[in-house]
Amino acid sequence: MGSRDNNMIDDRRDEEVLRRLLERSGQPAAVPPPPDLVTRTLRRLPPEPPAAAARAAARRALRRLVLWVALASALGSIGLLGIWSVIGGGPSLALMVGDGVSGLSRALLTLELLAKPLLRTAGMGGGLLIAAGLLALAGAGWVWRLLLRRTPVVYAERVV
Amino acid sequence: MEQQAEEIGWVDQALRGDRAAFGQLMHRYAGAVYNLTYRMLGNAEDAEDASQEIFLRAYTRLESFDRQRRFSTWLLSIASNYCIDRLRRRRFSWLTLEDAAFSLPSQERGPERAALDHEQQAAIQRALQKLPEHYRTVTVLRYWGDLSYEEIANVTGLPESTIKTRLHRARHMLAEALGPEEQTLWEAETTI
Repeated sequence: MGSRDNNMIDDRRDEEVLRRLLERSGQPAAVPPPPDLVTRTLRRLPPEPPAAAARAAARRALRRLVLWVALASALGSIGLLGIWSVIGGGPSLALMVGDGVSGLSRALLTLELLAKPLLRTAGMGGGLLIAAGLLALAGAGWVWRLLLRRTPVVYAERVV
Repeated sequence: MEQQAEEIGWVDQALRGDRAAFGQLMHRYAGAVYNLTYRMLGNAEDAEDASQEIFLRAYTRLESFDRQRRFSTWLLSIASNYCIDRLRRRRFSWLTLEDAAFSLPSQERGPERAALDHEQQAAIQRALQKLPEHYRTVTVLRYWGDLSYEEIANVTGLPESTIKTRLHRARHMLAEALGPEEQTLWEAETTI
């Protein structure tokens, strides 16, 4: 990042010139914070001391993580069970652990039935279309991200 | 030194659960934090929301505050990291029509001095928003926070040499972003 030659940089002149340019616009100027900023922030502070508040925040973060992992696992098992039941050809996993009417067996059967139409579509020649659709979606997402990165969002309102 | 001792006293009280002591710290640094967030994020609403979040983070992380450091440096490092994270998240959020309207340059014109001032200030904000986040951070800390290279290095956790390089480039970028007139002046005065 050019740090090899930064000891050679004499920026005193640049510094002075930029300060003069800023002064033309009355800058740098301090912006007064909203008068009730501290009061409102105080109201939002956790009731417990900082250490306890940090532990509570960590617990909340862990709960969120567990929830996401559970959700991802559920979606993953839908896919895996679907593949098993469509491609595997063997007996349904759900029927191996019960009669499919209650308990774990019923839950597995539900997941299998949810996944089946998706995988059948993919198996009937729709796979290419699905792949093309996903590719187009990823491409559009990439272009959108690129455009946003290059477009500075400038807020011209309430400028001090 | 006296100020630092006073702040460490407030930190100790806050760690024992005295929220009013933390309030004293907030009163002292509300201006610095708000100005940093305002220049980094570009608008008053985001700056206010960010300032509150930064103080909340500082409160929950207060135990990690190293008493060898200055409280202001520690707090501003939380603030600058938060602003950079927020700017990154903003890139991935949908642009609403309202945002698009804000992004248009102000059409305000007229002979009144206030309107002219407003236009100049808006130009500064627009120019700052054009700088990449890391360049904007060092620029705001240097010119609006009035920090030395060493202090900026402490806030950002970067070597002074990197700060110097980034500021060197940021000045060029800012002069260019300010407009053609400023750019011409810049080139005339910095090129021998």
